[in-house]
Amino acid sequence: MNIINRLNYEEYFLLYTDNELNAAERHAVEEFARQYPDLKIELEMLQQSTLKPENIVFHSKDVLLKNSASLINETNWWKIAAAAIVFIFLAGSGWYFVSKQKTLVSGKTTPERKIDLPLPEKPQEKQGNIVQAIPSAPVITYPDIEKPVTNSGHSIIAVRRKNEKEPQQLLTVAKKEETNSEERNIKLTTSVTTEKPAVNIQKMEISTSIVLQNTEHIVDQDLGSAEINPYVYASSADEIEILNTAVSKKNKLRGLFRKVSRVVEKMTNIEPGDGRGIRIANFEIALK
Amino acid sequence: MTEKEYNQCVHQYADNVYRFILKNLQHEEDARDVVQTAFEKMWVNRAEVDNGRCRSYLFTVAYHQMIDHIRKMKRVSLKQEFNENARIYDKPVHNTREILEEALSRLNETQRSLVLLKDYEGYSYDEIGQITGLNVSQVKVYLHRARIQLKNYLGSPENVV
Repeated sequence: MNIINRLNYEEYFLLYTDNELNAAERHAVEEFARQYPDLKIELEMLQQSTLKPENIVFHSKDVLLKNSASLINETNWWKIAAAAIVFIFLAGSGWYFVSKQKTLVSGKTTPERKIDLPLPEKPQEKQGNIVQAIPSAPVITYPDIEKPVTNSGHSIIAVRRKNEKEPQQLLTVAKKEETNSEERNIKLTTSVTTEKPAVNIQKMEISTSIVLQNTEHIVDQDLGSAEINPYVYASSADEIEILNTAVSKKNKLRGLFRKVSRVVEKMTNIEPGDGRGIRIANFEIALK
Repeated sequence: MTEKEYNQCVHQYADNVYRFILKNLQHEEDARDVVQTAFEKMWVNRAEVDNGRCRSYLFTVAYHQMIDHIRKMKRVSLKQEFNENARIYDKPVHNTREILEEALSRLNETQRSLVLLKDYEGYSYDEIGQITGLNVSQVKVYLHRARIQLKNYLGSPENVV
């Protein structure tokens, strides 16, 4: 039975053109067209009206493609760059800090000017005057201070006692110096007056150990109680290290204690028969 | 859909989508923008897109994007009614393809899209309905009308000459 007739052929032709028929229906349409040549021309016209695919290429596929690896790489590059910047910043700041610290330290403790001269082998006579250096009174040398010239024509190095730090180091130095037979430790007890504003202008008892080396020009210095500058000068030819060992400090509290003790002693010497007690300043203490 | 499947989809269907949009818009830059937007949407929604349906998804997104683009740009569309009496004397065509191109340009967007999806991509009525948002009957009716218009235009001796 033929399902296609002149009344519905157009729909079948369109479905045939659109390839929406099954094999049997297609065969039926082809058979119907063969039977009616006038309608076959119409079917051919419908088939010619179909579009043939063109080869049109989209050239921007790279824009559409996604590559997470490249995204990860870009992210990694950003991370690496950020890490490098942070590292450089930290390294620079650290270097700046260290250099600044070095500058401060070097400004405080510049290397001492020491002149090591060959030591003579002559034994010295002043062995008995050697006094052991007391490590609690170290010496700090100030090389930046200009070197005045002594009467003997030797340039001098200004040395002053500043603090009591680094006793071990100085003690080592002192012991090292003792091994030399040329050493001379001279004990100085003197009252010191200084013109430097940084140093308290007061009389100080300085127990100083002076180590003399290169005693080609040994000078028996009996400094005794000479009044010296807080800067102890050493000959450039002869290296002298002055180790301030024991310095007794005077302070206001000691003076106050002394005054109090004097008053007490004075007041306690009063005979008890006069009916007075011990009077300290404006306070009187009854003895009975 | 994975990244690899997405890239495969780009390689397989970018040309088809571009051709479909270009034939509708007749403007390369606009067609390229529509295609890029469609693929970008698919990439964003790749977790919800099945790899087996990426092609229809692309055409669906591209089709609606194209319709929005046409409305947005307010381009002058051709008359929906195919003018059977339209005669082109100043622009003679010499082969069937050019006649068909001219006839295709005289269709409205919906009819043209249906013809392109059917002839170029070989979609069924049902698939075309899913892409365009029409039901199967509408697709069938619109497409048959478009076929008849194309046939009549192609069969007109004035247009052929």
